[in-house]
Amino acid sequence: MSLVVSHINKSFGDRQVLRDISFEVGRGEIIGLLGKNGVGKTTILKILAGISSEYDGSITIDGTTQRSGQPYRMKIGYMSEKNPLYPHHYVREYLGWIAGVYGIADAGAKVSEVISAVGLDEMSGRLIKELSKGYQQRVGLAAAILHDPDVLLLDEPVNGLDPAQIIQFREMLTRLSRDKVVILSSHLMQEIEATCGRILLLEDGRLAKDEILRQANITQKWVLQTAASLSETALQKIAGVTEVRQGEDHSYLIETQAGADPRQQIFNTVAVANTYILELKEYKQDLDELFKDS
Amino acid sequence: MRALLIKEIKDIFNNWTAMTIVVAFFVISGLFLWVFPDTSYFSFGYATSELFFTVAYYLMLFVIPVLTVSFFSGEYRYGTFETLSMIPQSWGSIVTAKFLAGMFVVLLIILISIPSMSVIGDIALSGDMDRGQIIGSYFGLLLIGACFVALSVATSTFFENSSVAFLIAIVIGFVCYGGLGFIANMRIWSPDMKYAIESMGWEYHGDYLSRGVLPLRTIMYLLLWITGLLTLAIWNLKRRNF
Repeated sequence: MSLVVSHINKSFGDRQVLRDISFEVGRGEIIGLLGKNGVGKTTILKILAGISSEYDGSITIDGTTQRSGQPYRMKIGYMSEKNPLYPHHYVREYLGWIAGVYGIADAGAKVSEVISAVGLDEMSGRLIKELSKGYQQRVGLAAAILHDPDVLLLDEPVNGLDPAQIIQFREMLTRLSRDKVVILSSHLMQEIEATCGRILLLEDGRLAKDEILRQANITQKWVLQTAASLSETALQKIAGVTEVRQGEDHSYLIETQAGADPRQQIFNTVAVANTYILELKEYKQDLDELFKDS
Repeated sequence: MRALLIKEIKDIFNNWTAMTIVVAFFVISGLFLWVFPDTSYFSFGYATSELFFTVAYYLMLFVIPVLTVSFFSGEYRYGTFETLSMIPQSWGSIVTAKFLAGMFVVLLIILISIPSMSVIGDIALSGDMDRGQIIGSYFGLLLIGACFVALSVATSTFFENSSVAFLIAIVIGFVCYGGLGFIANMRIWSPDMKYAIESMGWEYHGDYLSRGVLPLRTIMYLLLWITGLLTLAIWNLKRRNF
């Protein structure tokens, strides 16, 4: 199963919002959609969700085009940033309605299954307006996954959640993503980093970066600070080390091959030099830097 | 479609507002028919179904928009228009479901009025009322009620503010129902023009049906209004949803 997005252009009047966006996503991938406010993240998600059909280009899920309307929408689950829900509906009633409009067979059992999957068991008999923001997010997620879509689109899904709820949400997302394509838009770099294996960075309506996060860091970096100077040559002799750069105050940036763990040898080298370690940590080039670099 | 319709009916009756309004409909129509000296049967001195239907049409002009005008403006307000935009249902199905839910209210009004109508029949001097006339009147109430519902549905697609949508629906409803009759009665028109304007009004066609005849032209004319208004609603929703 794959989602193929090909040469998408979209304008609002004279203002072009999306410019030649193309990418392909396969089952099991969690994609992070990044970009500053107003670069077109929500617009592309709305097009992917089938809400907007006025654009140039093509979108298909296993050959079903976005413009086919209902067959395409059956393959999509979308939770928008505002997470619109009917406040006067009970949780189970609302999800039952969603099951009805999607024509889900054995709707009652499916609703119960999804309620359990997103941890809403205790809230299923409550009015939606009585729920906290976190539980309302869960209702939105439950509605998005109820018909078991191939592609799940989540626009700023952790907005308003507390740290514990964010962790639970990540766990849920990891479970759900096994047999789906998940596209997650967030302005929280931390969130994208924690959940996504690949990022799409939008800039001025264009796809500025399409990177696989784990492979983006082909090399690992380590930051070392010692009480006294070390010989760079000694550090370079450590297995797996590819480059050593010296900074201020006896600090070193040590680059190694991906997967290498030079810490024990660094300890030994430092000990041999008759000094001690003030700091040793793995340095990750985070998305903030990637974002700034773009 | 079934799920959409059930939701809409539940949404109308999810609080006491709807039932209060339906009950108020009968209290107000009862006051006109039995209590107010200028309009009651006791002042007229004879029982007729005509008065009930005249009052019912004008009450429906207000009651139907109260209950149905937030059909789409409410969706805009809650942001759930987005949800409707992405469910695998056509706008035609969504609009039809909301229209049928509105018709449920009209049917409820008709159903509750039947005992009142039988009381009028019992006290009628002739001992028996013209059944054809009553059936025709109910048919007219149903069709013109459908016009009010379709108007309310169409208006609600244009306004996010329910109050504005309500006022616009009432003004347009009044013009379409009785307003054209008032305009036709102005002394500025030639007889042909007067007839042309008057016959465009829903009241004119309701009167026809109340006589117990069901002319195809009248039925087609009112059905054209209903489908036209619903088509306008669908067009507007598609236009918004790009």
